[in-house]
Amino acid sequence: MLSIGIGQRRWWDFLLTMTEREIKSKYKFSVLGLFWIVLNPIIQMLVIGFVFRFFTSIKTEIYMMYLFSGLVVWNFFSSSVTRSTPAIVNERYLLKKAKFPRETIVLSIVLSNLVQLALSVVLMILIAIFLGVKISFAYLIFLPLSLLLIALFTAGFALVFSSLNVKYRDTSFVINFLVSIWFYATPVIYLLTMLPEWMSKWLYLNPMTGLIEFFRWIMLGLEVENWFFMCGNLFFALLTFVIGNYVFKRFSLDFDDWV
Amino acid sequence: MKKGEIILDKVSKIYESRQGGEFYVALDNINLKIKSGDRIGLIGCNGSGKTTLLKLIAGIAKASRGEVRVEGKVNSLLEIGAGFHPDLSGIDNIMLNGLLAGMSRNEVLELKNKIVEFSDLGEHIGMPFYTYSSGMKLKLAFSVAVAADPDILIFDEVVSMGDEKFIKMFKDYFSEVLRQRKTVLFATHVLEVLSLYCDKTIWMDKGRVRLMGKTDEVIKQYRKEYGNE
Repeated sequence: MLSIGIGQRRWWDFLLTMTEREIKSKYKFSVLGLFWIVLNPIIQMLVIGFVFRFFTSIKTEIYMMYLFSGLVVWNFFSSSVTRSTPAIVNERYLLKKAKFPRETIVLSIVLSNLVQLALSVVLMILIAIFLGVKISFAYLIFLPLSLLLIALFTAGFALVFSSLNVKYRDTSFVINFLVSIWFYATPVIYLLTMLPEWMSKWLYLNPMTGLIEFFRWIMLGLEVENWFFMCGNLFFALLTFVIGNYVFKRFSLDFDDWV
Repeated sequence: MKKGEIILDKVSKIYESRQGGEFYVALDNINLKIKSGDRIGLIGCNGSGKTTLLKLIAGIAKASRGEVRVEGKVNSLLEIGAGFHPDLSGIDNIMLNGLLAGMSRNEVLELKNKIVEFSDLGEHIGMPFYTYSSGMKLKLAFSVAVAADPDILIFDEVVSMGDEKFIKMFKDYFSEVLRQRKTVLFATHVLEVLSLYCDKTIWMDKGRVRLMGKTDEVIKQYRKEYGNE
């Protein structure tokens, strides 16, 4: 029992320290530092919002909020995945130093991005208040669950592909390519309700669809297109994390052979 | 098993080529028993399997066959700068390296000032790690390793990169290691160093143990083989 306790303690020590390191090193030499966290989605929102004003009849303020909520979740996913995939190879000097829980390399990237996501959510609430868009505070009780599921799906996905990338270096190229296409198959710049019904059903094959819908339902009180499919997506997020852990454990034994 | 003991039972390490099909045998059926408090030198040509052997003992790599059993906290100074983030300052790098050396967060927080003092880096401790010279990197890594108080220490050539001050640091520490009877593994090509620090030496050759015995004996045979007595 005691040894399990120490092992777990060590695991959390590593995750915390690696996350600290990730955040510190990321903003160390940038002049604007942490300000980039809020600047990034705002600029994106303004640019995409400006372009899409010509394509949609929705009131601009409300569309901006749809967009912002979709972008913060999508950015969390895409930046975590694209940064995690080559991470094991990039941290090869860490692998050569000692035995330690390798998955913390990937999980610390996801966790440090989660800190940014949480800050963005706070910012989003402030923007909504500023623009006079109604926020459904009653649903906010589900917010931790939503963020947790988004993080678990991202982590599971990142665990699978970061471990594959150690042996098959093409993985990171495929992921970069995949993520840029995936963006259009996810309701980030549009809503499911804007699409014909037959099409929105297919989009539920993409787990990010349900995750973003759930998040928007909580933050903006937006209607969910299909509750059954959405819950399926949420469950799949959980499953992805379990599979990701399993795959990573299997591959991580041989990491040293390939870097 | 006692703390500081190492047992390798019919251990082989085989690397497969990326395309598959081709194999490279780095270690071939190694049987070793290292007792607690032994100070073991490792010699052999480049590619003879020294580093692979140390990696298996440090738990960095996994044996393809056989069993590696290690009891106690292991610390390795194998690659200089391994485990350090180039953009972070020396002091910011201490936490993760302390964990890698087997300490807990609380222990590192407690010992941080001592590590900084022992490293003798002065104002450099607050500067980014990429600005460090090899000797400075070594001093910091060594200071963390010392603070972690390991049962088994693994060194290689890197310790020869330090300046006079470091050599004194290292010698002082080594006499302490001797007193506490820690297990030491030391891979090097500088044979004089071995006679100084190690009582036994293993001669590795093509992934096998060619000879293991008293350091002076092994060095004598080794020199004979390569004709530079």
